[in-house]
Amino acid sequence: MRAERLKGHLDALLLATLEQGPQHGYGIIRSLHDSTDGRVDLPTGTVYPALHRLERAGLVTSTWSSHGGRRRRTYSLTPAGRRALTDERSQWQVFRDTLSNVLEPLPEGGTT
Amino acid sequence: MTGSAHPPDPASSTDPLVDYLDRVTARLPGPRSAVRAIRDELADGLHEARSRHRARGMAPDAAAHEAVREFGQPDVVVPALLEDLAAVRARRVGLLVVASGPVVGALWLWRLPSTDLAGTGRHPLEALAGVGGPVLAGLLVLAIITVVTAVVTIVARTGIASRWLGSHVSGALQAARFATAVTIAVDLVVVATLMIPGAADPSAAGTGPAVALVLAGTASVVRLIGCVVANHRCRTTLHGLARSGTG
Repeated sequence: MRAERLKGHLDALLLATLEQGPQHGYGIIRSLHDSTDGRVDLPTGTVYPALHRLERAGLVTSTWSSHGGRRRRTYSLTPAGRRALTDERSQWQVFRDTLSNVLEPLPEGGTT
Repeated sequence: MTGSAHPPDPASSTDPLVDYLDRVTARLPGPRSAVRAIRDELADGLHEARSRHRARGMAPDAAAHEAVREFGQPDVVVPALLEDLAAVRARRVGLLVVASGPVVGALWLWRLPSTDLAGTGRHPLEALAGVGGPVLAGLLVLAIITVVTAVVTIVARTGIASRWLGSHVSGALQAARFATAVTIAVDLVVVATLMIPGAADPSAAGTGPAVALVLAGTASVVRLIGCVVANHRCRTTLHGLARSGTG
């Protein structure tokens, strides 16, 4: 899937991925990749700033820990993040239904 | 890209991961602690990526190069990280201005009661009253309101309120520059009108008044220098964002 199509939806995708439980940045990216059968395949390095932005907005929170001698930053959803995700899902439902009404192919021989 | 304060580690090996991290962080002119945090987080992800590719049977070198490819070219990754660091910078400048205001103001207020303007027996504010003291006081209040508004803008565009207002890092940096510029102007006026006459004040011969003057004057000068540096760094960061097409 082309990156420009994800613009505006990346935040929702990240929040939805974190709904499954706390994860570090690379884990989130791999989960997103795997859950979409590879259709979402963004440069990994560009996703970290999006996570930081979500943290500044109070939608996720992060903690540092030690893992194999390295510092690891793990993200988790905040209550505000869960509410924002619920809101995103509602808006997506409306968006999808609206476009479906217009983009659904016409029946054979049918007219508008 | 502007010159970076984060040159590559001279001891870096031919490890593709270290090389990649060096190339990325060398182009990040943000606060050192923030750049270090980004480097550590990227390093963790790169190691995980390499381990995953090794587990799939790739040779060590191929796994490392695949991990680097997966993370994206520095030309793609750096602009995104620039915006991230710019937000951190704007917020730290806002904190500098807000935190220093009451401290510097309190030191000058502590100093004022003991000030006799150059042996004339007149308090500086009495002298100023004759040359538009109320106007100066009004301008000071306006400056405080302006700075507070700028800081609120910084927080709104980079913090929790950005959920509803949208993130606007360039706007936050411009507000930070404005806040530091106003603070610089205030400090210059205060130093010129209170510190210099106060230093010539015979009543300042005593230890108490002299200490008060030195503390207040030093606080203003230190903040002034800090704001000049912060203003320059914000300007540099804004240019970096403009060149990278982000913000």
